[in-house]
Amino acid sequence: MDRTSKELTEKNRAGASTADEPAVPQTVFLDDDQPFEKPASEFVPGPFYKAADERIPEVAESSLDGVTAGSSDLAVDRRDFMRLFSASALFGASACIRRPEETAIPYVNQPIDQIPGVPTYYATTCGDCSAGCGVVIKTREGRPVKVEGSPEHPINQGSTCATGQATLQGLYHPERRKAPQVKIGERFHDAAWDETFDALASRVSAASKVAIFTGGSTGHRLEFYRKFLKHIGSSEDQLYVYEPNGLMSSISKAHEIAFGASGMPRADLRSAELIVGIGSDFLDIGTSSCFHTKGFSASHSFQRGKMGRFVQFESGMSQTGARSDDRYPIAPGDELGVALLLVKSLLANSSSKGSAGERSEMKRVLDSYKGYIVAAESRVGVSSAELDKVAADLITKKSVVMCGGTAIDENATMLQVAAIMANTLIGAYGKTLFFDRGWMTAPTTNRGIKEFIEEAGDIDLVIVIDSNPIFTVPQAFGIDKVFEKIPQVISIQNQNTETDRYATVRLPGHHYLESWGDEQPVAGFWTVRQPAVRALANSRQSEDILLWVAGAMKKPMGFADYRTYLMQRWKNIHKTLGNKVDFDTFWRAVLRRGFVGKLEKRNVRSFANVRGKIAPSDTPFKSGLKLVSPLDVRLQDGRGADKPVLQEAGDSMTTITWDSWVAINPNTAKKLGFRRNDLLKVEGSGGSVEVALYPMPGMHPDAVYIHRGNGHAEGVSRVTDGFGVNPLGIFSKSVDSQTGQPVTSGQTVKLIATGKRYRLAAMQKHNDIANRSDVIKKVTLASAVANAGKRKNLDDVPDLYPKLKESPDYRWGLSVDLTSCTGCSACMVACATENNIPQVGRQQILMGREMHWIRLDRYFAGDVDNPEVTYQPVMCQHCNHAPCEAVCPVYATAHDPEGMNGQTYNRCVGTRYCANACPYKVRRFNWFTHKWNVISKTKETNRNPRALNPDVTVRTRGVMEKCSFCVQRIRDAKHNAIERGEKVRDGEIRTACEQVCPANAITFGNLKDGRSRISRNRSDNRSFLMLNADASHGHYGIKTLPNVNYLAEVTHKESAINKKHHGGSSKPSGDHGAKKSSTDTGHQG
Amino acid sequence: MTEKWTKTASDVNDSILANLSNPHPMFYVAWAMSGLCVLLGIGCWVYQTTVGMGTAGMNSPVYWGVYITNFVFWVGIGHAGTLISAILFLFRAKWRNTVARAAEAMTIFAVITAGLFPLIHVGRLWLAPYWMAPLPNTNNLWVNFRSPLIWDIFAISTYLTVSLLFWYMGMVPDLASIRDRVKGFKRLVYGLLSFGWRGTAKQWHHYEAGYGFLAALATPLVLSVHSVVSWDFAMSLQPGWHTTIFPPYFVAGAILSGCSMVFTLLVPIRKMFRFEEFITVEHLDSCLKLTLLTSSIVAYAYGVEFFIAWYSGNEQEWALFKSRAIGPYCMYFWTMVFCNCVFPLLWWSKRIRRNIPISMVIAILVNVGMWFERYNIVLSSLVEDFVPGSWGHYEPSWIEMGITVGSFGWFFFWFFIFCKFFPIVSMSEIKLIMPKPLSRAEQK
Amino acid sequence: MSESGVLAVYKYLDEVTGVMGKIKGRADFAGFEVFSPTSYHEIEHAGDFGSSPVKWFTLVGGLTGTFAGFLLPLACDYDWPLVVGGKTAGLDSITAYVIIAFELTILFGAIATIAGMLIMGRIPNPKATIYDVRTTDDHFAIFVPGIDESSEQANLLKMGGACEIRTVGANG
Repeated sequence: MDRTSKELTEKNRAGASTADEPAVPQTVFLDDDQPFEKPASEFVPGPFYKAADERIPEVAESSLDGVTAGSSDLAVDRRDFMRLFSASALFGASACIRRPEETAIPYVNQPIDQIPGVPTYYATTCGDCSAGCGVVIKTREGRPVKVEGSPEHPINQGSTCATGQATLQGLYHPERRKAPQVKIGERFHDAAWDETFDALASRVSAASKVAIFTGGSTGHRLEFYRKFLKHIGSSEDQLYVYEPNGLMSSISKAHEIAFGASGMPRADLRSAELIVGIGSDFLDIGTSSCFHTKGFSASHSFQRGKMGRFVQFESGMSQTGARSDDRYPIAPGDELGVALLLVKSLLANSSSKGSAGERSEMKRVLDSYKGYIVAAESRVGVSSAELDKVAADLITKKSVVMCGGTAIDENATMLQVAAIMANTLIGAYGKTLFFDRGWMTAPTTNRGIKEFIEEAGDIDLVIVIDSNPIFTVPQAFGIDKVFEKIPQVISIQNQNTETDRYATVRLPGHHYLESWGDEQPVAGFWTVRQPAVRALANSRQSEDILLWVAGAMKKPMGFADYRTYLMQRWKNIHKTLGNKVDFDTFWRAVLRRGFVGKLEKRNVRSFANVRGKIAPSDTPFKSGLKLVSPLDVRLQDGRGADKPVLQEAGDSMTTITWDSWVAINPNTAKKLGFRRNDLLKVEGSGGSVEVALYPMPGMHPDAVYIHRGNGHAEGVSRVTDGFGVNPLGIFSKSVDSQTGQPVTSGQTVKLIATGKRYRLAAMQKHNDIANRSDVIKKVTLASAVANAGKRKNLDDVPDLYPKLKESPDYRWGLSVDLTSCTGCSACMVACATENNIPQVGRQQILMGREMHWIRLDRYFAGDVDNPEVTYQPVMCQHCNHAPCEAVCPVYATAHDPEGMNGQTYNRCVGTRYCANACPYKVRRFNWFTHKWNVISKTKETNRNPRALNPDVTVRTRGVMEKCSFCVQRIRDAKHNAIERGEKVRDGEIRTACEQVCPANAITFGNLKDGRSRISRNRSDNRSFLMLNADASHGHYGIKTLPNVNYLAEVTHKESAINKKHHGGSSKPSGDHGAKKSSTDTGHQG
Repeated sequence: MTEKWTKTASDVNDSILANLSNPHPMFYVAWAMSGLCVLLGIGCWVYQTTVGMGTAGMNSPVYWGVYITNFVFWVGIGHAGTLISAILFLFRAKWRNTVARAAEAMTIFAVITAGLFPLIHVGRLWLAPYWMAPLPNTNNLWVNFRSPLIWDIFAISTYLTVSLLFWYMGMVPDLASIRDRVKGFKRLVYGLLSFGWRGTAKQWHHYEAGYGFLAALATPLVLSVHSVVSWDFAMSLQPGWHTTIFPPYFVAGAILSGCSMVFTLLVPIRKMFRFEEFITVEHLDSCLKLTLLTSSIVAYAYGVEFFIAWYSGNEQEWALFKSRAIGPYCMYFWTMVFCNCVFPLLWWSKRIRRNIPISMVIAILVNVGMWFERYNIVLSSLVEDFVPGSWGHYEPSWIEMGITVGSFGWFFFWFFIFCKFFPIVSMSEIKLIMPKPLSRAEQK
Repeated sequence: MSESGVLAVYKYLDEVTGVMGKIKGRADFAGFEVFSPTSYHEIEHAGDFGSSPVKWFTLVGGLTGTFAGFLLPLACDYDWPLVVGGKTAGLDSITAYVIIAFELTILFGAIATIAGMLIMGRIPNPKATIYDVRTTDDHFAIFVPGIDESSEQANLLKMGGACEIRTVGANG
């Protein structure tokens, strides 16, 4: 065994050391693209290296497994990546032993576990937020090229959110710190790791009170930090966890109050017939957006003649609210009022559930809020009759109440308590909410930012790990002062942050794709994080750094690295799960599957003695404009802001890219005399920012929304420089007394005109459907049910030309269900990463030159104050009668026997005639040679070829491009099918957009296969072809006969777009706004 | 038409060929200015080619802009020449003989200018000229003969070639006369240029026949060229483009712009080279009558377009035409309506037709109007088409402006060269319409 | 044609036509040439040349163009029949190729016509000499080869009203 591994090492050394070989990395990468540092600094320092010996056998084994894998089963099929576990194990091992001889690509002599050109897949756990989604990393020649949701993973069930898709841009970010930096005097000096560890050790041992400040996690990380603190002789309590998403801690806290047990209930929305949201944004971010979207799309899409209802009370216009069937705009801060009123009417309803004890306790709680409720009743503008009706429905139907969003106010926890009461009264617990079995663990502890600021005075040294408090904590808390006061600030970050500026030592931390770890998103359910690539920059895993510091302090913790620690913890898990197999097998199985566990059970007491624990917040309810700052759906708390692909995906409600904006109700704007793109000074008690106005239909007249995420300090990243504001600067210092979370909602602000104007780069210029009848279609639930059985044949169209020569086996088609789409825009990001689509930056977007192959059209219809919102993802429709093909002078685009509309980049001369002829305007032209790198905002940024998908050509300037149905995946699957000697199976090919979609809105497949999902969808009665009128009535519209079909959105009440509106008050101002804006841009351009 | 000729056939050569020796000083000023415009245009073009098409204002969804506008505009200008020399030749309209040569020259240079724009417009200039021709290439692909752009290439190149032949053929006898007046090297050059034309009766005989057949061939060609150009638009599905009226509408528009341009050119020419006696007011007058006719045809076309858009009940079509008239870009629309349909109405009055300065102003306005007609067609249909979510906005960048100015410079630059070295008025033809040199006439 | 002969220069159209009428068909005037500044139809009638064969050039050229115009696209389609916009290649799309055919008809026809004119007019002809430069300006002339000024043919030309008679071509 030992021998094998040595051979391996010998081979690799030979490979790397032969300088005359043409294919050594240096020749492949640009200077700052060099994957690895000099070997010398690569070894694990100090006395613990012998600990590696105990892993040598395993390396040997797994490499032997690798041989079999390499020889036989490596006809890789995307569906069962697990077969490659041995590769992952070896790779994992290598990642922590760090054999310096290994190089990523290219191979001088081929490693036994990899075939160049054949992707390898690693199961790991997404680290971009604390939801703990399982992802599968597709790596080619040792470098990750695509992130995809793990199909088996129960949290995200194969999907990811936009942020998760963009993670590669974080991994390959050219601005990742290249070396540790130690502050000596006023200047920072690059240091080698070894000396850094010594420096750290001396500083840590010098400090009497050491603290760790980090973001939320549900895994062993926090426990490890506690151990470390304890080990170096300071108190465990000095671990401060700050999760900028305030929702989780308030939910957890509320349940602690109500049931005496912490954690969050697992909301199973799949079977919910009625969902009532009160200020909830579970589809935007909430606590676990992918999980909730999956569930929501199951219950709230038209299936088997049923479709759930969703009622939303909210102050802003969130993506979540956009999907609601009934929507009640309420003032910011009234969420609690509405919730309590709902509870009141539920209590009043005799048939509501809940034991007598619980009901009486709830009565008592309500009594303690009597004044508040009375005030709310007159205020909220939702009649008690309506609430009673909702309450009645809640009780009769299988339902759930979801409360609160990522922006919280003083009453956040109480709002959750109210939600608990409501859910208890409708008997949601045990049916749609699970708190006693498989509940969701909260990623936070009871010691957060509030405690940190209080106790910071006597902290001598704080280690900030992958957290950016300077940016994510409202400035009014004086967090910068706090950090300035702390003598030693060690900042370990995997991206550049504001916090670094207050650090005395800056350490480059691993990206999660390079590091070990685990999460426990649901109690008893563990999902593991393993490296999918060797460290690209000269970084270290934060936990390893702590270990080595302890080592350098001569206080070894007894682990070579964090992986050893993890494996030791996992031995316990192995025990508790009581698996028969030995640990190594178990561990390798876990590594290849990515997760393990069975849902934990516990007994929680009933709802009791809540009163007294919680009281109305003393801050009185203020009327007037109130600011709400939820997390941005893509940028989250700002950690996504340095990823151009996220900036360019744009907000799906406003379609604004690369910017912050202040959203208020259009009528309010009119009243105040503001126009779109007016630069307003938003002034609150904590401070003020200047930001441009976007009139957003459907917002409550009092609501002012500025999303968090943008507005990073100058110089933090080239991506974020020069635009955006951080609304947290506006808030005054105020916390939810229960959780200590900073308030980011409901504080009154003034809007002051600056007289300046600023162009917001909104991708969509025209916001209503302009009375066009065959762009989107909507049917009422009644008619959908009535016609559910009837089948359509959209392809039965008379034609003068003879039948096309088609392939007998395949005709590719794609369908989009408008009922399901929640506008999360993950498809846009997935498409961009899969197809090497460049980001063009704000200026080009303003010119209208976005490159998205799939765009998300968002239409408002109906009342401006409460519009109906429709999302429509539009990609190339792959028409059978494609207008673009006929006009191309050089045959650069032509019809493919498998029904696709092919685009030959090499042949294109760029007359742009095809794009004109395209009625869907889905073709994209390369106006410049766009840099296909992680930063394209400025021209002179360095390209990063490793971030590219090697299966897709990059396009040069002057060439037309468009959606290709992910043809590379089709080819791949067909190739495998041929090897298997059969046809491609249905579902074997999943386009990037279909694969990522958390709402299951997109289906791709073979139309020649009558039993495929796509065939069923295309013949569904709701199915229609965009702009092709209705063949069944003999109307063919423009008769382009796309292979992409849409499924009409099913609505509970008659949709506004079906009643044509001609101007007047009923027309959303989006229209006028757009007209104005288009002329505006004209004047300003 | 019966005109008073102040000159006889024997004065023709002397006065017409005066331009070879001493033109009006204004001439050199104009020439230099056009040269400067060309330089500006070239500068912009080089910048665009090196940096990228993005330097132009085009975007998604407005993938075509000023370049295509200019292309259509210049092709349109290029129509009057061959129309006048071919169709009017067959109709034996005598006034054509005086203006035909200049008009044809205008045609040639206009079409050459137009031909530049597809090249300026394409994204990959370095490949387009080769790949858009039906030549063997590494892609193993031929061109798509079903694409209107390929029709365009054939139509424009045919039109250019035929016009060129027609123009040159007409000029051969005159070149011979120049040859017979000049000495030395010049004589050699003009001798070569005139193929050694001797003017024998037999040569004249075949010449007449050939000229007639060329005219007969050129006539359908003139009508076809702008029809083909109009198909660039009509063959796509865009609302406002996808209409059957386009071919006649475009041809009429082309003749309108062409004739007004002929007028705009002739007025200064007859001043600069003192041709008042040959290009008489009557000739200009009849040119304006033709312009007036086509202007009313164009006006009719505008009307019909709107009517059909409404009558067809096609929602996209009607929405588009409404937005043309009252939408964000309506100023272009109304410019075009007033310049092309309203102002020319003044020409109904003979007094105004005979009033050169006023007519000059109107003619220039018509040119402006015709440019905006094309701009309007290209732009408005692209800005707001089928899917509201993809609607956009367009305005030309300074690069496009510069290249447009450059194209005018380019046109005039060559036209002035023609004025300096070639007979601007067809001498052999003008002799035909002058009183014949008869001995009786002499004795009287 | 360095062959010498007599050139009679006339000022007036009617005189030339008159003389042409007299000398037409006479053997001793064989191969006479008439020069005129422009294509006066009177001269054509006087010389009654009959209809010009240029038309045949035009016809042949045109037909060749039509053929080529259909052949080219169809041949290309045959080489690689691509479906665009639901339109199958080859004869199915012939309607589109009518335009190509039309354009090529015109093009070839025009070129053939010019060729015909040049060929029939015997130009360009390096051997040809210009006898009198005024013929391209405002004078007419008749050249009769193989006679001298004193001959009675010359006399006849003079009677016709020639303003000048001289021997040319002998040395120039």
